[in-house]
Amino acid sequence: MLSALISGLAIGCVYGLVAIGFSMVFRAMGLVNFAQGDILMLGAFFGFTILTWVPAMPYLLVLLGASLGAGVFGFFLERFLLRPAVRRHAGQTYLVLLTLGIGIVLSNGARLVWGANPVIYNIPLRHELVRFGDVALPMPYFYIVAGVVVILLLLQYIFTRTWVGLTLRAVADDPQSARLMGISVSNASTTAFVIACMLGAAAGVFYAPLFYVSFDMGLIGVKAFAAAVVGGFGNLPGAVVGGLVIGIAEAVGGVLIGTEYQDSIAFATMIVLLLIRPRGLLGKGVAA
Amino acid sequence: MKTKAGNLVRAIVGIATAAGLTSAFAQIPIGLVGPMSGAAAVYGTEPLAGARFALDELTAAGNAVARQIKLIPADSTANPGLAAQAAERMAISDNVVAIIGGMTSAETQAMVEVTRKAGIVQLSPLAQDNALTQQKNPWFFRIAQNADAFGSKTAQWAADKLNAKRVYVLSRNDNYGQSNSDAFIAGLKAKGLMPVGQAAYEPTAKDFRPVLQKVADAKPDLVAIMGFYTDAGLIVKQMSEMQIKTQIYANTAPGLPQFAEIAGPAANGVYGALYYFAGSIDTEAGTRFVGAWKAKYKRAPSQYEGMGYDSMRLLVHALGTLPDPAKATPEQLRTAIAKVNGFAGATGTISLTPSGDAERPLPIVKLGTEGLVLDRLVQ
Repeated sequence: MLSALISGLAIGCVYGLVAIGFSMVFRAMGLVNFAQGDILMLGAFFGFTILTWVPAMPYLLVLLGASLGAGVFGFFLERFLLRPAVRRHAGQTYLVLLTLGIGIVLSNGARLVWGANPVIYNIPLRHELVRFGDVALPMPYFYIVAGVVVILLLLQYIFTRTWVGLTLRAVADDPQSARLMGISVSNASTTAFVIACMLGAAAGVFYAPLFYVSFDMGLIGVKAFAAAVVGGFGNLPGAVVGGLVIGIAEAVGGVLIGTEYQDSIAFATMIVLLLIRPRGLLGKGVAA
Repeated sequence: MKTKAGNLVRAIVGIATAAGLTSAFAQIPIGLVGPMSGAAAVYGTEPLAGARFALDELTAAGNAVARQIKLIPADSTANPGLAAQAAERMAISDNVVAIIGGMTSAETQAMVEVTRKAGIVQLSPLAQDNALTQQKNPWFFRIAQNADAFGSKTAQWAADKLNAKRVYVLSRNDNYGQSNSDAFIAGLKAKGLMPVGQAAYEPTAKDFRPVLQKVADAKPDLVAIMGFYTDAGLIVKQMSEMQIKTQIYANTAPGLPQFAEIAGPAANGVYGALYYFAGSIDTEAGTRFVGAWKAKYKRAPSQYEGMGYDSMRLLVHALGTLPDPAKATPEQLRTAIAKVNGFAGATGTISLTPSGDAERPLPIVKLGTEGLVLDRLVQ
């Protein structure tokens, strides 16, 4: 059970990172980016490409490089695909379809570029273990948890101590007033989107050494979306909490009930929690 | 004004056109449906490569039937719905006389509904689900052994060779996994053994630690994994991380190099049973195929390439027994295939049973540091 709990915690952190991306984009731009899971996939492949070019690259530099690459990609994605739609006041249905379409294009594009077969990060980290008595845990777990803690502290610092963070919060709370105060709402949206993409890519690089990288791994985004909803859509700490809840629920549920029901358990957890608390665990309600 | 030269040109053009039309009409369209993209792509792309290799080889050797065959591939992406659509299109638009495929059991089942209704021969190189040949469908055949045969032979081997007494069975929760699991367990029971546990997992699962904890608690001396190479690879890796030390049998997964990549060092020592193992068939057809393949690709053929190769060769052989292969009806081809007995395939001697199943040898292998090694060829 301890092993399942820790596994759920680590995978939950991955869900949480992607869920933060969902919430950030929603707060900044008012749209649900269903391509966020595929950004995770893209980040994982960026990491694989870096390791293909420089096999001895330290893992943390791979993480940084993949995140920066996804950030640049996100910049152009937001600037040339999403912003025009938002500016034209496109309806939510259109925006949902747009991001779904982007996700499909990313997924198929990844298949064309990197092939249909799964690939692995051929690094020692993949097989390193940390032992606590009789229990051995994969080293990537610790990277994930430590990485998420560092990222959350960084985000906390950015949002509370930097001008960029303050503008993001201002735009998220009241874009009209922010505009009147001289803040560029469009630049803030771009910044939020870029950060969300970087977080998604980081999640992909954290996930890759545990399993493998494939063009269809963007499906993780579905559980990450559930995590964002469970935590309270648009609430960043809630996204992390939601991720942990979903991750632990499916891991523990797999032990207690059965592995073949893990996916069902994850979403059943979401349904039950939303029935109890419709705004999410930490949500304060979302404006229509 | 007509000239002699003009008449000659017109005559030549006319003859050439007639010859072109004749050769176009003389084509024997054969479809091949399987996953060519996605995580299961290897189950489609490799049989296709094998089938094409067989056609090229037979054509180069002057085989008149092979020269007329037009191979029409389609990508199912391992989606049963898409596989059925491809079969339907081939039946209606391409007028195929036969379809090689599907490759996974799920897509094959979806296609069977189409080919049976259309009255077209369907020959699967890889699908193992028992149910496929239990439907009294005269149009479906396969050159792979069904799950029962696979399971009983491997269970017998596990009990005799590995001396397994406490077996835990993990299986994908789909046609492939469940049929293989049921057959393996039936084989164990036939040897007087009961599994100490069994569990199914979702095909999309990647974290198997919850179920592996149950495996660890059961203390098996053999874990049998009935899944694709991706899940089997992750299971073996995670078993190693959880310090679960036991013998492992991973069905056909060890036959793929990607299995060892995913599993890492933990793959060393894992057993598998393959559709075919290059070098295990010590016949003229077997050695010729491996030699020709190595000459072209500088490596031995994989199990899926071998099965695709023999599927095409068997179809060509069956067509060759007909008086006019180019005008063969699906019914004639069906009757010819049903009579196949002792076909000297490159992957082994193949005989088809009245239900459409295949009797053929089963190679059991072990993955070592230098690659796969034949452990036993079970007849």
